[in-house]
Amino acid sequence: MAKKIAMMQLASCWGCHQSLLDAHLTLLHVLPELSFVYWPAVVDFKTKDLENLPDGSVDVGFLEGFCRTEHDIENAKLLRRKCKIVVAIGSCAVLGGVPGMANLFTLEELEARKFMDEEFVDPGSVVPTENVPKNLDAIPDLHTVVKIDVDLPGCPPKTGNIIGLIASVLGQVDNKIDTSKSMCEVCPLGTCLLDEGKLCYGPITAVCDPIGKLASGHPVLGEFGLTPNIHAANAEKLFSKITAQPLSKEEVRNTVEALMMMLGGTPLGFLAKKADAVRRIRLDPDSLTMKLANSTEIVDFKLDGYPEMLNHIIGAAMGNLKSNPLYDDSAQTVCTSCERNLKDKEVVRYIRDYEGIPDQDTCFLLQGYVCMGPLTAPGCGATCPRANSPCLGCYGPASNVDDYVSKATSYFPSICKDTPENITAFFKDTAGLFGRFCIPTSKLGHKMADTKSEES
Amino acid sequence: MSPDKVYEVEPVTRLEGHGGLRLVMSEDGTTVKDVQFNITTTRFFEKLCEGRFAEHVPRITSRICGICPVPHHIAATKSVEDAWDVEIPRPAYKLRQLFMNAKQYSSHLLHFFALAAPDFLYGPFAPAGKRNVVQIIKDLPEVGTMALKMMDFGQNICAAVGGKAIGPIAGIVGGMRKPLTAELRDGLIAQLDEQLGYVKATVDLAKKVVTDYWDVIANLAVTETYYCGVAKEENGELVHDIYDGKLVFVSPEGEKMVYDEENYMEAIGEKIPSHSYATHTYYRPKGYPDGIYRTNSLAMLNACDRMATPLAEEARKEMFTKCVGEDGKVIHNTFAYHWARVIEIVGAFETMAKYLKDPEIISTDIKTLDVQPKAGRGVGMVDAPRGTLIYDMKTDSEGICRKLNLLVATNHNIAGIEKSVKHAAKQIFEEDILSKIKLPDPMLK
Repeated sequence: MAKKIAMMQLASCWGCHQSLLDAHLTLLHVLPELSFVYWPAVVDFKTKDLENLPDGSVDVGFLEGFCRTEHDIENAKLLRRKCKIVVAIGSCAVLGGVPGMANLFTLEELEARKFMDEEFVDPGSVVPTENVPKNLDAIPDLHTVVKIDVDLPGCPPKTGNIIGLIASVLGQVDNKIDTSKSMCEVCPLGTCLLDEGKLCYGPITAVCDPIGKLASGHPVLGEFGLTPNIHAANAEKLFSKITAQPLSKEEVRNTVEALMMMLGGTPLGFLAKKADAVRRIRLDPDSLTMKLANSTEIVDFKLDGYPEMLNHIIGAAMGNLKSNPLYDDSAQTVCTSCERNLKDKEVVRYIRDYEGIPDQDTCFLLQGYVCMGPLTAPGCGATCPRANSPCLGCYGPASNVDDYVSKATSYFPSICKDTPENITAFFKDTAGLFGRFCIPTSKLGHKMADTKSEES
Repeated sequence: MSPDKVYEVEPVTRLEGHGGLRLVMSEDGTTVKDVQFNITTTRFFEKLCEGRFAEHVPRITSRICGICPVPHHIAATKSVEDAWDVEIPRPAYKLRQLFMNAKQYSSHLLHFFALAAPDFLYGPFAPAGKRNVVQIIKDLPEVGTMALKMMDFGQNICAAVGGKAIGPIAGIVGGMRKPLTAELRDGLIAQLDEQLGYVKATVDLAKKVVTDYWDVIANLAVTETYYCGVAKEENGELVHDIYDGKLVFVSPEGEKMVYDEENYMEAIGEKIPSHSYATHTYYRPKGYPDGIYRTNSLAMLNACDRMATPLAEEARKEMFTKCVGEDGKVIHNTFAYHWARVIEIVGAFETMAKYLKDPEIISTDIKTLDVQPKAGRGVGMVDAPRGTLIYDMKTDSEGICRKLNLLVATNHNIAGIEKSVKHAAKQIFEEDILSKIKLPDPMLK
């Protein structure tokens, strides 16, 4: 059976749809697996058709764009009602997007420019109100409007990201996963990786075909979720391994990947889940309470319906990451996949994009161009730097960055040798430069109408 | 007064934007009283660009449209260059021409195959679940594969030249950021023969559609309006050019009025309707609603005296002869837009081939160092796949964008679309035209 898919288009530019269509020949393989029950950009079903479907009957809903009007809010809620899984696709849905910069102005200022500026429009014009939905005062964080299951940022997300996500999310709704046993029960290897001193989460991972990765000697990393029927003996070995000593760099990376997948993330490393446990280890370590297990201090982690040892293992993995200095290094950014030379980290002074001709092989920051790469989540493969253009941050905050705008505002001055006066004079537009894709989800909030005069 | 019957299309689908259609009929269903095309979203891009670094505006407004980000990126760059009196090197000009035409190619193909073709292949009355490109790919895999390979070619050039096909980045005030490598260029040239074959097959398919649906093209929604396009003046002739030209208006009788781009305000007025967030633009000397005009492919062909390349020019002549006779000056057949779009696909292909084969296309002299911000006003104009696109920017002495006025491609068409839909609605509901015109058997069922 083809999976039922709905694509809801809030206020947006169509770029995310174009990025999906840019899969071109790959579509010939993907489309037969999908049945689009709603996709106004491409298919003629109307809102009523979606309303008439039973609640929860659509496998995956993609929510694209942002909420500009009351009508967008209704549409987002309609999609949520009809779908089992809701994916926020693109930076507008995930972060607020480029048009989110509208929140730097009040609605009155926005409407006055568009509808009443007589330098450009006919005199005497007023804001349209007939058969058009009312604009919201500000663009909200979509996560406060409806529950989002998966975030896929990017402006637009790369075609490969979208196809990968579709494959992965379809896997999640596809019920081939067998939680009645652990991967250890079907392990084709002669020698247990744990016996060789290697890290493998097989004892607590559910079973799914294919197991090709395992057959090649690659450790199991929670790919198919958790099983309550753990392999008891091997689970003991895994727990001892994690609590014995700090994990190596590769083990840290594998553990982050395993935790993401076991705790409800997706197999795509670049997907940022809001406030998930793995990110909390880095962003807010003090919020995690600790407990003792076998005389070792581990994170107090409780998943109902699973054996205590499984909770111990996850708690130990998180505890190991919490105190492990290598975990910081594993926070990946756009720089991770950027091939430019980084000789030293000193920035002499900042220059504007139109100045000079950027060298194609040297880090933009070293040349003085503002590049958001160091603070930005990976996933794009450093597309812009490879096109000799600084990163603008469209994939949103890296896993070690909490509020993007605040972090950038402290980061860029701190790495520059220039005088504070010159730096301040350069950054005339911090909100527009650092909040290009994320004002509605930033702690900065939005510009409010000045009500002081009314109060006094 | 008797109550009216209201029919709503919510949302209008296969549309690169957000809108609904509202048809108001008399109670007995015999009279069309009103048609509204309600554009239900606006994003206030003009305002949110105020205060930004002017050279960053091209990377902001490329998010206005995900299908045609390239023209936005380029027109915005041109407006800053005009405001700061910057001249770009010749190879950068050629790269931009290649870039624009590659986008024109893939966007028009997307429109033809994904947005328009389903109506003609399955027939306008096929069920919604059938009448879409997903079904075409399933039912006609060889046509689907060809269409996808063509779009892929165009988008690959956009990515090769623009750094990124959607939300491009390569344009910078003063030229382009990254040269095209010989290796990439050679790879693209190697595909030209195959693409030419596909272009010819697309023309054949379009001609079959024109023949099959001639009764519709000739009779339904033939709406007289003004037209707005871009053309380059060469030896007293107006030549089709989407990157570099003058603003051309065409009267319903075929008279052409040519404006320099910085004088666009003399030609274009903007009315704020009460029922749409998109403004209604009109030809200012004629006022509203008499001056309602349309833009986009058919308007471009009405605005020029000839296409810039031989195959496209031959196709343009054929279209004019068929629609209005050899001496006809202007075509008003709304359904001829699709035909005009295919002619522009041919032109875009020939233009891409010309620039790919130009040795200067791989030059590294693509960015001038002579760029200094100054207080000023600049206008940048191109023709986007959906129509004429105008950027009017004011910057301060530090190069900050202080005011931006946009006349966006689709926006020019809103009033014209409403007018032609109203015309068609009257024909269908008052004159019962559907029983009088001949519709072919659908190619696919």
